[in-house]
Amino acid sequence: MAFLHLLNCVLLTFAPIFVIFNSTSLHEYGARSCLGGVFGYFMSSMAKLLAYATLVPLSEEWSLISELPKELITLIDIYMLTKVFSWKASRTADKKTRMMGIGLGWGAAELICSHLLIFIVNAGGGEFSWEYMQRAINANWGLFQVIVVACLVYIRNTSSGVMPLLTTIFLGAQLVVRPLIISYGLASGILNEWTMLCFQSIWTLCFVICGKVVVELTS
Amino acid sequence: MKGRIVFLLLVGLCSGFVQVPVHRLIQYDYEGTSFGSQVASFNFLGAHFKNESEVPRKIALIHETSLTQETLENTIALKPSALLIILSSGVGLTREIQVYLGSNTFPFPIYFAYETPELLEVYESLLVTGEQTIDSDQLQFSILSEEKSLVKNLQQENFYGFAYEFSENLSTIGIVTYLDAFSVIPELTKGVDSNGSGVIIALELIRLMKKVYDKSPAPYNLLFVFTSSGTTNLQGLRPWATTEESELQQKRGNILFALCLDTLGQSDKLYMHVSRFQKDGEIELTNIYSQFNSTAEKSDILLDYKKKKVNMADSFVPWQNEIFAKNKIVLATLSHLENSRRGIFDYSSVFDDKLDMDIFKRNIKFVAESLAKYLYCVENTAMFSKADVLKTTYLEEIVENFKELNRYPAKMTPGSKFSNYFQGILKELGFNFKVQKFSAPDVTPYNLKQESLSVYKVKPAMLDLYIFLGVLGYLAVLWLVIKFFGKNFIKVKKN
Repeated sequence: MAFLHLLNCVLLTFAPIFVIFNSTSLHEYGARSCLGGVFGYFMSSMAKLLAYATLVPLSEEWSLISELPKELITLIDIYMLTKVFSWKASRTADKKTRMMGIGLGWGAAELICSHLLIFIVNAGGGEFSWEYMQRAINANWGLFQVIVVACLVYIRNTSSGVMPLLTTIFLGAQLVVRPLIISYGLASGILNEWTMLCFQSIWTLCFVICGKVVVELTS
Repeated sequence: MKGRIVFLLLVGLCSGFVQVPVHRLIQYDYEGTSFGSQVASFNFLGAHFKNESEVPRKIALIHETSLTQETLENTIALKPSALLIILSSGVGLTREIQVYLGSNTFPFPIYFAYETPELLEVYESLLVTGEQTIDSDQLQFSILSEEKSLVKNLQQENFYGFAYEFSENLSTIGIVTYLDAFSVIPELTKGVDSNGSGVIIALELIRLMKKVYDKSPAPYNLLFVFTSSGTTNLQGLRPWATTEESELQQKRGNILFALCLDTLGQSDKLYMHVSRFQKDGEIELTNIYSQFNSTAEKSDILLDYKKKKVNMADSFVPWQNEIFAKNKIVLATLSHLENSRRGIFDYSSVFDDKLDMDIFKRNIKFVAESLAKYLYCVENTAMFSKADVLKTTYLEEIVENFKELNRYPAKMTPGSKFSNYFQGILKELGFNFKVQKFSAPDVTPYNLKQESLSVYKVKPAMLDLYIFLGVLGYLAVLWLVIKFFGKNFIKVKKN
């Protein structure tokens, strides 16, 4: 049962990466189309780690002043994605495949670093816990969000007119507003693990639809 | 880094809802047959022994307060996959139950754990059985351990030496005792009375006799023999009593009488177990027994004699004196045990961890006094005062050390903690001793290892199966969505 629980968590978290990779054109270009995203994630993580350690004050209680700097630091992701898209090495495929590849690579690296060890250590321990199933579902929504973020960053950098403003609003909402709502909801008790998951699901659905609309409009 | 990850994985795999140290029922081979619990690892759901319908194919939990031989046999008859006995004071684990557990073969794991608040909570929660739903919690008990291997050619050692220089021309009086302890739970074996008491008395005799011998040696050699594997059918004494080594043969040949010390830490009454009384003309033997009788009388000790003929055909030897009787050496076993042992589990109880210090000190003085009076042919004068016997606090310290250092035969190999500690004491006493190494083939134990029981909350396997099917369904839907609805969003792979 412990094995099946671990298998469920791992499958639910990581299998979508392979499903997306294998059912899209990324498969034709191979894993190298995703490497830029993987590398970008590690670079961004290191930069964010340094920024957190030096800039973010420690605070026990939730307050907008203490939370806002934390979320603003995640904007480093946008900078790093912009850099990754500008690398020659990542210009190996067409526009959509590049967006998808970099987003998927970034998301895959994030999922592996954030969840794999926790699942093996805890979910494999024999005790059934819904916490890890929630984590796995959340990881899925995170993957879709990262892919859309990559698309939006690319479109923001390559389009003109109203698009840069629109994508900036979407990115700001995704990277700053959403985490603020979740952290406030959890800290104040408005949200619990399950309602937070529902919120994430609805948010992800909306964000993916917005992303699709933006991509549609620019293609 | 690699090591850290492995460590984290192990910690993860070992962590549980409740973790308690557990002690496994003994596993040993005797005369070609395996006894005790034959399996070490398990991973089963738990059941309270009172919920009889749930016991089969689960680990049954019994608290010591509900433990009787009947309960135990009934629970085992229900064919549980494992058994966990929760110990509290130890009173419930009677000698009969210990003998039953130790002298039968169980093809499943049997463990003991001391009661903790968490374990008690788990035990009580198992008693309540409501209607099981798809997501109701169940308790999974797990011990992940490799199966234990047989300790072949178990190496043991005997220690022997003289209180004073050995002289060929003098007869020898021997003091014989065994060092080890035995019980159905090897890791909890303390053996303070049986036979820590005998060993400590022998050590105290060395100290006292060395004092008087140094002043004026008695006209007898005084030999001390400490054997290992005494509890397992006196396997240690046999190689000492039968070896053909010439030097030892010579020293053994001089033995006029040997006194075996066995279980002397409690009880008002003492028994001298002999295989035969003195014959006409055996003045020395008459003197020895009369010294013991007169000292007992003066010390208000009830001393009784028990004669038991040696049954040469019986492979089990209940008393040490019977080993020597086979070699035609006269000796007696002094003990507070009235009856002969019938099997190896009569040697010790799991909870043999106390001595009555007053009785024990009285017995030390009694043995020392009787022996010294005989050796120096003194009739009425007391050889030792009460002050000569070690102080209670010091004796208690030795007893504590004996408790701490496990004396189960498999733990008493050369170089073991107890062996080093014991040799240290002998050296401290200035006792010149020799070591006889031997292998004990009769009772072969299995390796021991401290285990930890993990108790987890789990959901029924069906829930995991349904989730698994749900995940597969989700992945299929994801694939279909990308395949048929993702054309405008991404460039879909061309088939």
